[in-house]
Amino acid sequence: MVKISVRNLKAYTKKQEILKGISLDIHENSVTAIIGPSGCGKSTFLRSLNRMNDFFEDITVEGEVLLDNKNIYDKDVNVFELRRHVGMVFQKPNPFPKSIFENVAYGLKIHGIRDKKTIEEKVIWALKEANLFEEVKDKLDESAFSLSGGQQQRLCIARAIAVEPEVLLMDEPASALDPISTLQLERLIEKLKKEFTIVIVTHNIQQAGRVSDYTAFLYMGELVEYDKTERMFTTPKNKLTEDYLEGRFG
Amino acid sequence: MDKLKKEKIFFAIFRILAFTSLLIVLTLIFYILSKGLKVISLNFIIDYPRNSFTEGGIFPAIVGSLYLVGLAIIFAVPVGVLGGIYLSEYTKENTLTEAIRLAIDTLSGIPSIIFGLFGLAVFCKILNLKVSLIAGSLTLSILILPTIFSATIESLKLVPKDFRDASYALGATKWQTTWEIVVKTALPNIITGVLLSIGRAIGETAPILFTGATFYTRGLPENIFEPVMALPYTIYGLLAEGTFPQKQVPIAFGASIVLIVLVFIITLPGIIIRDKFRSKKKW
Repeated sequence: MVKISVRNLKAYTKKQEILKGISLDIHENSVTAIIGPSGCGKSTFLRSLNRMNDFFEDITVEGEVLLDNKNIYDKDVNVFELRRHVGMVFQKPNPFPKSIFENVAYGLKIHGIRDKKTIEEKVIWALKEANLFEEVKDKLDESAFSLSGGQQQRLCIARAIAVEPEVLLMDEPASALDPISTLQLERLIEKLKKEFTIVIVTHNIQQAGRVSDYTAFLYMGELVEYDKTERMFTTPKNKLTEDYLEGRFG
Repeated sequence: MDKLKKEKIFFAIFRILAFTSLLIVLTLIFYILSKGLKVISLNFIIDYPRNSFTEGGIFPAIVGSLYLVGLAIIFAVPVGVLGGIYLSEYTKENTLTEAIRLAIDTLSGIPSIIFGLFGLAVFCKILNLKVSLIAGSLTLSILILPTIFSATIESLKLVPKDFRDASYALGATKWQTTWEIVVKTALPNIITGVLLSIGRAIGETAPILFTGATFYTRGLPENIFEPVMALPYTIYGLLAEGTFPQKQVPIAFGASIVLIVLVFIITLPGIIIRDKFRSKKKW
């Protein structure tokens, strides 16, 4: 089933076009990888799915992003509510300077959940979902900065899923992690797709191949090819895709 | 000359210069202690001055100084901190904010005697508060306002954008992000800025010279419209206008020791908070 339908999405500044009209369907409970060389518009594309581009005043976004058939750029959309449904994990692990528990509880609190027991249950649930609970269950009150980089990133994932979003956006989530942490993260993504729809931007072609069901290849702001990952990685239709996948440029 | 030799010579010069500043501080403290330590006792701190300030203690000056800075903080902190938050978080860079910043930077460079004159003209005369605790503390509050303002803005600037992004991505509003994440993260630095500014304010003489301080009072001020004694002014008065130097000069040095210790006590938590914050900071 289609979860997000992107229709002719354009993003531009006064100086340049970043996205030149992209249309694609993102399927529910699957992992969609966005790949492409630096500066191709991957991150801008991802950030337009939860309107994080709103913060860049010089970027104008046009076109439609339909989440469950509702355009998130419509005037009557509550952007704070939208971001609760479309969570995000960033490139660099960015836990708050709070305790492990408070990091995960923050999202619940800002959305008005006050009951301590409910908060505690949801925090533990989110930490378990993020494959982190066993490692931190004895030190929930310690600072999030006491964790390793990989653990911090899983904490950020726990923080994002605690508010029970439907879609999870990941912007190169493994780029700051060591190989073992990356492997753990990829396993986690594999597990999370059963409950969430995941869109992941990655620099790493192998990673896209390992974790994703669908892959979109962006180049210079245009969608060159979009297909099932298996299909694209074995028989790319476009010469450009083939060259990129084989590492002839990047 | 070969490079190594040159390096050695320069390092030797730097070392001497570094030690010189330490030496100056030590000499200063030693000098004040040697002149004033003999009058220091518990009574000196909790007693009222007697016999034209040739005997007794400096209790009302200590209390007066604490009143002055205490009130100054009550006036300056809300304006400085909230104004800083507003300017840093809620406005975009434009000519007006640039002008405000420039005004603040200029204010912090103005000599404190000018603040004294301003306080005299505005608070004592125009607002008719006369020489009083309230006029003195208002003048002091204007003096420390730019420091608190800048400390707030600088502290907020140090909060990484990553934290704000993470908060917004969870669906937080601007208000929630500002108060729950940005201000909370910056708070230790803001508190340090405030404490350092108190340390500065308590030692200032010029701003309270015409606006709030008096050389002698019978008791503690009963309301904010009475003038107060204050440590720096007491020191100045005893040295400049005292009529019994043999007895009053040691009292002035004793008061100096008390003032230094007071500044130290107020500033120390600020330094501790800052160091703790720096060692914990990992972004």
